[in-house]
Amino acid sequence: MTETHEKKIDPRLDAHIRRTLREVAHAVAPASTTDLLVLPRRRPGRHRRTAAVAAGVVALSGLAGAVALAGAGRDDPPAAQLGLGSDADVMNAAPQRLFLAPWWGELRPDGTPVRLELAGLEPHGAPQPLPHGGYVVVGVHPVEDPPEGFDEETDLAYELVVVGADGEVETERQIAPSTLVGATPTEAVLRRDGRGATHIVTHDLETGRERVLTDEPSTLEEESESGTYPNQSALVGNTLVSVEPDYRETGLNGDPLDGDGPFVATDHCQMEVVDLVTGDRDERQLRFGCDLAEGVEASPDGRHLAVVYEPTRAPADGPFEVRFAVVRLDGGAVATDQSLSEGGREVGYLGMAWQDDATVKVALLDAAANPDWNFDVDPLERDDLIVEDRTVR
Amino acid sequence: VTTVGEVFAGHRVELVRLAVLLLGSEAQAEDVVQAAFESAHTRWDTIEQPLAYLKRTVVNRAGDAHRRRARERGWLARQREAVTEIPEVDETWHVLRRLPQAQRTVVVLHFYEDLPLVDIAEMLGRPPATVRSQLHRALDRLRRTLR
Repeated sequence: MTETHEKKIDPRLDAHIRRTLREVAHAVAPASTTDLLVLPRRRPGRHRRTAAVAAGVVALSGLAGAVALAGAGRDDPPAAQLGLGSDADVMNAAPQRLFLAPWWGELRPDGTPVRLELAGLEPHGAPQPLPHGGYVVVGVHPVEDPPEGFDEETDLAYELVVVGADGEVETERQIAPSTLVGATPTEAVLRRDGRGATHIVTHDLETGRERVLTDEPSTLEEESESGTYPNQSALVGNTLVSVEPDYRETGLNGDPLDGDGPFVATDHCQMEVVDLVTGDRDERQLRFGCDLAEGVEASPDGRHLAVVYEPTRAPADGPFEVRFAVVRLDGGAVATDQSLSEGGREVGYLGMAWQDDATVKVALLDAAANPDWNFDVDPLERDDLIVEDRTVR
Repeated sequence: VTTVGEVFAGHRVELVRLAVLLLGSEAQAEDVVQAAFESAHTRWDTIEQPLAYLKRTVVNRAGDAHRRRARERGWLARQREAVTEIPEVDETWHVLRRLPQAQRTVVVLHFYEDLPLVDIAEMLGRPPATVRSQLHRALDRLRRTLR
């Protein structure tokens, strides 16, 4: 098998990959040490902080608006039949709650950040707000020292937990491996891989009863393998809206095989709309250069989608930029597209929430003031938080 | 009998390099390798092939670290720092770093460790067909972005 397969690999690509890996590996020069016993653990507190980092992070969604996308061209079955979209006014009420990822806190209306009770789980997908003031979270219990042969895919126990407004765990239930992508007042909406397809499943919060709604495209399945490119999703009525890089187009400024770079891998992000009732899908490219979407949120009226993204062709050696755009869900028109990195400031995206149909509160991390923020900065400390309102129109 | 100290002195750099290729971060790589040695140290007498055991542990722990830091990796991936100062190598490394972790692990083990796919499948505990598919998809993406 192996020999046959290896013969199919383009020799030039084969040689280029081998050279790249060899050169990168040999450029690594770890600090010399010969004594295992005195070698300190690097940043010993890191695991505690990063234990809350989700694998396959799905950005903050959390809407279950009753507004179906314009142009859907169908008659919606009754909400009770689907279990989606019921009590939508409660779920859709603005201002929305602002959850902070991936350290998982919530920014209270008075601006105070509080840490979410996660019942020890490492979330897979952002916690989703519930109308009673609590939230639902799906995840696994982190394993700090897995035994040899430990397989995360099969050996980790996934759980769904409902937390009340008082921070107390109300429900704790073991489920199949899943990522939480949305919630209605009565159901969690899960993305679940299996048998070559990714399913969208509803999970009744009261009874635990589950129902498979539809499959996701294979491209989403591929990208969700590691979470490196998590697709960012928002639930809008009976529709799941996701944004992810579009790999079908590449911005190539040269041929790196000939040493004539640089190039970028992705020029655009695509917005995919999946009708959870019919299974119909519609894909369209976002009308701005987008290399990676960091978060999406649907407006209270269900007409707009706010997208925080990294633009295409960011300078290779300069500070990266984070931008904020709002697109119309019924046609993709861009209502606004503005930088969150004004003046060259370095920020990291934490979360956003619509305050009304024209204003989005965005939470950012001041990355420049914390050069090690990838690991050691707790954004729940007020000094590290930047919170500002962005106007859509 | 090879002691843990001897393996540490003789192979730590090699293991860190492997972990860097799997994780894309030297700091994380050193963490993973250190943890692998600490874990192995406690059961050293029962390990028949220490280096193979440590490599497998590094691969498994790298996968674990990657999952936990998926979000951070997104931020890290934006940083196109020069690693080798060879432009075409750095650009290809940038693409490799952004492969889904499962695919990149197979690529690193196949092209850097020179492991046959059946051995990779055994190490990762995945069906050979899955490993073959992951390599195929990784190469397909590399072809698209490097063409």
